[in-house]
Amino acid sequence: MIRRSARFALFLLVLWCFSPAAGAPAETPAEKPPREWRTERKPVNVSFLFSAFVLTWAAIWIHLLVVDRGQRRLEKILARMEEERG
Amino acid sequence: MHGARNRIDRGLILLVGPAMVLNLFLIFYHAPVERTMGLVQKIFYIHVPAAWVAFLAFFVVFAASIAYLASRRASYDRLAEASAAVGVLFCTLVLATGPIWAKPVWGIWWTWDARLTSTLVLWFLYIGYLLLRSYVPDAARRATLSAVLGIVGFLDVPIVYLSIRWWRTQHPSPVFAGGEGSGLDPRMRAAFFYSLAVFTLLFVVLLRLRMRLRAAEGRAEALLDERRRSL
Amino acid sequence: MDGLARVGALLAKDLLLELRTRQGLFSMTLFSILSVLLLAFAFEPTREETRLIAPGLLWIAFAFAGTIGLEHTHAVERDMDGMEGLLLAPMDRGLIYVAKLLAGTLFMYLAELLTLPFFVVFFNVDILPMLPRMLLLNLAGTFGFCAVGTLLVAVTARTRLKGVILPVLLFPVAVPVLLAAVEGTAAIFRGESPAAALKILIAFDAIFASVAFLTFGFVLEE
Repeated sequence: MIRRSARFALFLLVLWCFSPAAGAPAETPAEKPPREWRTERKPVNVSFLFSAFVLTWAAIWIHLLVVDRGQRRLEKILARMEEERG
Repeated sequence: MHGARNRIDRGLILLVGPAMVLNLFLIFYHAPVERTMGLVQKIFYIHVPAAWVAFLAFFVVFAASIAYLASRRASYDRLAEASAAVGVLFCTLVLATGPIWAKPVWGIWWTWDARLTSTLVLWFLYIGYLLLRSYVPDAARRATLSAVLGIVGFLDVPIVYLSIRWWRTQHPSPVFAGGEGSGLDPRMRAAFFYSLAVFTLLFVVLLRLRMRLRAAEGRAEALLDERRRSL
Repeated sequence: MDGLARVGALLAKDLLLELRTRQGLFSMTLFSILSVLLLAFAFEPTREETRLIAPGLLWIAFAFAGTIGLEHTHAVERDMDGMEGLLLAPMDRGLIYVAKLLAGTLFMYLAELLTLPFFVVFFNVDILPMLPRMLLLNLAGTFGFCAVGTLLVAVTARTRLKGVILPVLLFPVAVPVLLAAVEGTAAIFRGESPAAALKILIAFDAIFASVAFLTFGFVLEE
């Protein structure tokens, strides 16, 4: 139960890291004048985005390594059990 | 016996880690920022490779399904299931990144263009495949039924795409200028193809992990069955 | 040809069964008409806009009724181990598929024909001048829907929850049929030719009837 909520919290954290990438929010209220095109781009913190992606990937990759390790141990146990039964 | 294969699997996992980091670096720093769409355009380097990989995955389901019906070897069924599951994962990624890209660029979440809409139908097709498998407890029957669905589903894909494309010509919507492939700078092209390669590698890694899991499940089941029978 | 005679015999059997009780046809038609009624409630039928979406509403009703009908054509074999009897007969399993496909198409088509008058009345669409084209388009669409439906209902009948996932599997696969049928019907309502839609439907029918014919045997094996 705790592990599941921790995983969910981690998922929310990852989503939050990506929120700057989502760009402009939805509708503007009626009174505001129509949006003009910005001639220069609003500065985006590229290094922040990059680090967020790299950190997320690092977490995924470490998870894959852990799964692989567990899988190999499982296969070893299975091999031994299959040997025992003759 | 399995030692060499395990080493290859481990090697691939070790390889994909830094490979993806390099990919992210190329995407964020090497590839130039697109003039009209800005930084958001870089989702393209994830969205399109994910789509290609999803399509590759579903082709593997198709091939493995045929191979299973021809040979009845359980390993082909495991390949089909694993490929479908990983394919759905990448397909979900395509469907998630599509709207994230569309909203700031075109102002709407969903554009009903032929490719994205066909991907949505594809997603439902293969979710259905996985759902069907969960409803059949007997292993042999499950393998046969899903193999038939795997074949029918994949053959449907081009027809679905063509029919949706025709459907859109009946209802012309504003043409969105600056599609993903319009005029790729050589650095963009390099980043794109490298991303494609890394995503394919990731696909293989995830596929192998899932297949090994299923194989281990099968072995454990067989051992359990023996124990039960001998008691 | 021998195969033709066998298909004919199976088809006659299914028709006879249905003629005796008329259960399947009745429930299919009733469900189809009820769907049209519900859709009339949902989409105010007197507005001009509803006329534009009427083809879609019609085919939604047909699709729902079709799934009921498909379930029925397959379920009739469950009584008294009818399916075992069929499987023991020395014939190509694909022929069983052909017979089921023809029976299913016939029943679904009949249900559609019986629904059309209600549709015309509720939605005030005058289809009489375009009737021949509608009949042809409906036949092509129904055949395509049943081509994949007959295979998939056999697949889902062998699962734990039977009919529950039939729509989940059938609707994505049948997307081309529904798209083409709706667009073709819309073209007919506008007075144009549904040729393009018909082409898609015929291609779909040919491809999937063949594929299903070849794979049906695998689905039925024990």
